[in-house]
Parts: sequence; C-alpha cells; structure tokens
Amino acid sequence: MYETIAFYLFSALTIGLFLITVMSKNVLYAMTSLAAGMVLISGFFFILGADFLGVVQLIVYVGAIMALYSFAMMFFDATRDIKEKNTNSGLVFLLGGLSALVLVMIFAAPIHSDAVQALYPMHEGVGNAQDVGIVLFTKYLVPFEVAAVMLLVAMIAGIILAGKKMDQSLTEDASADDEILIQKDAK
Amino acid sequence: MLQPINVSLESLNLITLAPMLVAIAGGLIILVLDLINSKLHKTLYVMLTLLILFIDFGAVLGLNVNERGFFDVMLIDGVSIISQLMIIVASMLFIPLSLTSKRFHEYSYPEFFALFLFMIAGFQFMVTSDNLILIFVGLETASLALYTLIALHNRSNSFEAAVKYFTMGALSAGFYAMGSAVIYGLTGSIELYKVAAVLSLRMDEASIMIAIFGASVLLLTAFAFKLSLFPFHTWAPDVYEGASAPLAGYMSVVPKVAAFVVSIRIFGMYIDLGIEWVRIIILVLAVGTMTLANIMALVQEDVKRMLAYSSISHAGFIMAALALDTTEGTTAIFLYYALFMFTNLGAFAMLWISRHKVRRFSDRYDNPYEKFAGLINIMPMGAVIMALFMLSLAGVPPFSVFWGKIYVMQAAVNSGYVWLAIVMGLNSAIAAYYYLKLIVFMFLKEPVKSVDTVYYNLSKPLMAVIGLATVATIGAIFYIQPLISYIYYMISASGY
Repeated sequence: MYETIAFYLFSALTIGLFLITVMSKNVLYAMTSLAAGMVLISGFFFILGADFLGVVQLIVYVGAIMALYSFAMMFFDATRDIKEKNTNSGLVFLLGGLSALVLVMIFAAPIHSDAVQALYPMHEGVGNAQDVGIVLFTKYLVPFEVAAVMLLVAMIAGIILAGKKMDQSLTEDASADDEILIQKDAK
Repeated sequence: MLQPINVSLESLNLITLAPMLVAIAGGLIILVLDLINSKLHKTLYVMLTLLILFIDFGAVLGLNVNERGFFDVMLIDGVSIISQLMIIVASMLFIPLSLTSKRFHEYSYPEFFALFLFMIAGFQFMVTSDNLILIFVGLETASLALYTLIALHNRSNSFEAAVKYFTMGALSAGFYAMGSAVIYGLTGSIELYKVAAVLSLRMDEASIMIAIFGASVLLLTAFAFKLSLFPFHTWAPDVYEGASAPLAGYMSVVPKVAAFVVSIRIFGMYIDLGIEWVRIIILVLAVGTMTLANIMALVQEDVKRMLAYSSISHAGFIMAALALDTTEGTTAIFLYYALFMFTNLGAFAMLWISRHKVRRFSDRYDNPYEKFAGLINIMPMGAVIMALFMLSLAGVPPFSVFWGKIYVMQAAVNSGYVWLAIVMGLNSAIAAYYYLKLIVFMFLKEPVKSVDTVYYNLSKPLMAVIGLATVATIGAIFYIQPLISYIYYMISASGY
C-alpha cells in the first residue's frame, strides 16, 4: 500500500521536475529541478529494495555530476533567461517524441516475458552492499581494475592538457629560418 | 550471513591477463622514470616503449587458444590473439615515427608514451573478452588516451580534432551503454555466450524482435561511429586532418581492428541466430560507406583528407566481409587489415616527413596536392615509394592490398553475394582515380616554383619504418599464403 503511494508520488514528482528542467528558460531553475529529480529517482531504487544503487545514484548524480554542472555554471550569468533558437519546433517535437517512443518500446518489450533470471540472486538476510561487493570483487574484479586504469588515464590526460606547457608550442620552429631565407631571396 | 568465498588460484588462469599487465606496467614504469629524472631524452622512452611492446608480443604468442580466465571474464580465442598481434605490430611501426630529426610537441612529454601503452592495454582488454562491461571499460580507456594523444599535437586544429572525436566518442559510448542495457534487460546477462544461449531459446516469442532490433541498432550505431561508417563518418576526415600524420595512420588501423573484433562477436552472434535483417543493415552500411566515401575522396584537395576518405572506404570493404559471417569472411577482415596496415602507415609516414610548422602551400590545408607536384625531381626515391603505396591502396597487383581485396571478393562470391563482389570491383575502379591523381601530380607536374618543398623531418628511423612498410607492400606475394593459412587456422579454431 505505502509502496504504491510512494511510487506514484515519486513518479509524478520526477516527471514534473524533469519537465521543468526541459521547459524552463532559466539555467538555475533547470539545474535545481534536475538535481531534485535525481534525488527522487533514487527513491525508486529504495522502494525496489536496491539500497546500494539508491545510494550510488545519490552520490554519483547528485553529488558528483550536479556539482560539476554547478561549477560549469559559475562561468555564465545564471540569472539571465536563455533565448532559445528553435526555428522548427514542430520538427523538434516530432523527432524528440519519436525517439522517446522508440526508447520506451525497446525497454518495455522485455517486460512482457518473465524469462529474465538473476545471474547472481540476492541472499536472504544479507545486505545489498555485501552482495554487490562479493560480485564486484570476484567476477567483476578485472573490469573494476581496468576502470581504475581508465581513471588514471583520465587524470594524466587532464593534468597534461590543462597544466604542462600546453600554452606554448614545443614544436621546433623552422619558419623563422625560412622567413629569413625568403627575405634574402627578395633582396 | 554469507559464506566466505574460496577461489583457487589455478582456476583464475592468471596468464590470460599477462599481455595487458605488461603494457600497463610499462606505462607506469615510464611515469615513474619521468618522476625520478625529468631530463631524460625521448629516445630512451621510444626504445623502452618498443621493448615493452616486444615483451607484450611474446606474452600474446605464449597464450593458448580457446581459454577462459578470471571467472570467464577473459576470453582468449584465435580472434583475440590475431587482433592483439596486429595491434602490437602496428604500434611497433608507429612508435619509431616519433624519432624525427625535428622536435615535435607531443614527443617532449614522457606521458605521451605512458598514455600510448595504456591505450594498447585498453584495446587488448577490449578484444580479449565477450563480457560487455569489460569491452566497454577497455574501449573507454583506449579512447580517452587516444583523444589526449591527438590533442597533444598542440595546434588549433588538433584541439578541434580531439574535441570532435571526444564528443562523437561520448555519443557512441552512450549508444553502446544503452544497447548493452537492452541486451541485459532481454536476457539477464551481459556475457555474449550466455546471451546467445538465452536468445536462441526465446526466438519464437512475439515481442522479442523489437527488443532485439532496439539492442542491435543501438550497438550498430555505436560501432558505426567507431568504425567511421556512413552516415556516421563525418568526424573522421576532420580528426585525421588535425591529428599528426602517423597518429592518423595509426587511427585508421588499430582502433578499427579492435572495434571490428567486438563487432564480429556481437553481430556475428545475431547473424548466427538467424536474424537476417542484421546482415541486411550491415550490407547497406558497407555498400553506402565504400561508395560515398570514394565519391567524397574524389573531390578532396588535401592528400591527408583524401587518405582519410580512402580509409573510410576500405572500412566499408571490410564491413561487407563482416556481413558474410563465414570463416572465410572473418579471415578476410584480418587479412585485409594486416596488409592495409603496412601500406597505410607507410603512406601517412610519407606525409609525416614533409610536415612543416607553417602551411606553405595553402592557407587551409597542410598537404595539398600541389605540395607533391614534381616530387620525382626533388626526391626521386620518395616519389617512387609514395607511388608504390598509392598503387597498393588502389589494389594493383601484386602489391599487398590487392590480395586483401581479392580475398574479400572471393569470400563474397563463395557465399553467394556476386553483386557485392561487383560493387567492390566498381568501387576499386573509382578509387584508382584519386590515387592515380597523386601519382600524376608527383610524376608529371612541374614543382611549384615559388615555394620549395623541404623534407626536413627525414631521419634514419623514419627511413627504416618506411623501408619496412615498402618491403611488406611489395613482398606480399611471398608471405600471403602462410599468412592466410595462419589466420584461417586461428579463426576456425575459435569457431567463427
């Protein structure tokens, strides 16, 4: 009973908040409603009993991604309304609607059958995080470690692209000699 | 409470991880060396990278075919061994190209070589798994490193190229993740052999086709971006133009080999399940790619952009072989890339030796055709070698790419696609025009008098790499038969 009420409440609120995100002309409103929508999505995970994923949703989307967006937003004037240039709003509406419809159909199709079985079923009386941890550190240890390498690559890439002498070219400049030659020829 | 888990070390089969660990450890060694002494010359890093690649090569050769390791996440089959060997050989050809006689921005960073090794490890993870998560993580590791390698060239158009490639890559990563999610929702597994088992049981269900359609279209879009297939090819010429010439040549081979391996695993599975329209979509993409890229290549004014479109068209050729899904077709994919690798890297290396900091011949392009006018008078040997590469790319016998083309066509005819072989033949004829255009410029035109062409980048290591590529291009007739039988043996051993 309570779960049903909570589900419909969360659904209505999430859809409403994301509508504000899309429709609002003010960046600040859009960002805030996006963050609130993300928080409410984690509510669905908690209803389904996936508390680990719910917490991950909160940390990753609300904590990390929204913080990144807010930092990016600080470079702009957030109080001003955005002037949108939709030359052909009918076409945008049609294409957006069609792709949304296709996505909903794709994801709804497998629900029709119940042949999906959990590969790593939950153990009774054991917390969600323990079960996830066991799968993550046995079966998925290699992808987990490769993800660490990926983060290392991203960190190195960020540091050298932003920090180390990228504002000056270390490529040997032969054009200076060439220009002298050309001027000599002209004389 | 949960039971403690006992895993025996033998069951992990850790040797399957050895090649990637060599590359990753090599990258870390380079980073640490730079921390200890930041004044080391780039020659040391080049040689160290080469050494690590040699060890990596040996580690791959030491693997047994058809083994799984680490809870079945790692999969060593013939396809993965061949593709790893090709990736490493192409990298060994690429790295010495940094030993130019002039200094370039990217090679003054030791991180360039570390990122390069991490990228190779990423590609190796990508090809040695049929677990969609590991494929994704490997692909992203490699791609992130590659974007940075492009941007390190440090010109405005290489930043443009890196950002374009990054945006397109992020989009395709999104498509890939969505496609994998649909597959998971459909079958409850992300390991392709289990997915195939579940799907084959559920093929007669009514609503399943639309979900399979969704999954395969999303995944096909993701890989069409990575393989630069029409209509997702638009990024490729700009990115190739902005990247340094050797990196552009490298990008037209190695990331595509890795993406083709994953495509073989995923779409080969769909075609094996009897889903015929996947084959039709791939054939339409392939024919569109080879034809339209050829027509676009005809009107290019820049040799590098022409080579970019030509490599897109070659990717279309190979995609057609993927649609056949026979052992011969899959062999053709690897044979084609093994031969194309040397010729294409050689052609891009020839552009590299004439790289200038400023654009001398045109405001817009680095390598316009005029730059190569009358090359036979300025640099006779270079002109002849470049002409050899062009003839090989055009598919003139007995040079290397001819054998790849003839093998693809043979595979097409043998599986009953005669029209496909005819389309390929016609496309080779169109392609000959733009390759010959460069030869005409080099041999028959007078050099542009007002600016002199200076090939100042030339050095002994570059000459060695170009010489090796030339030998591989001309001597294809001598090694083609053993190469085919080795690849065919490996492919059939892994059941494709």
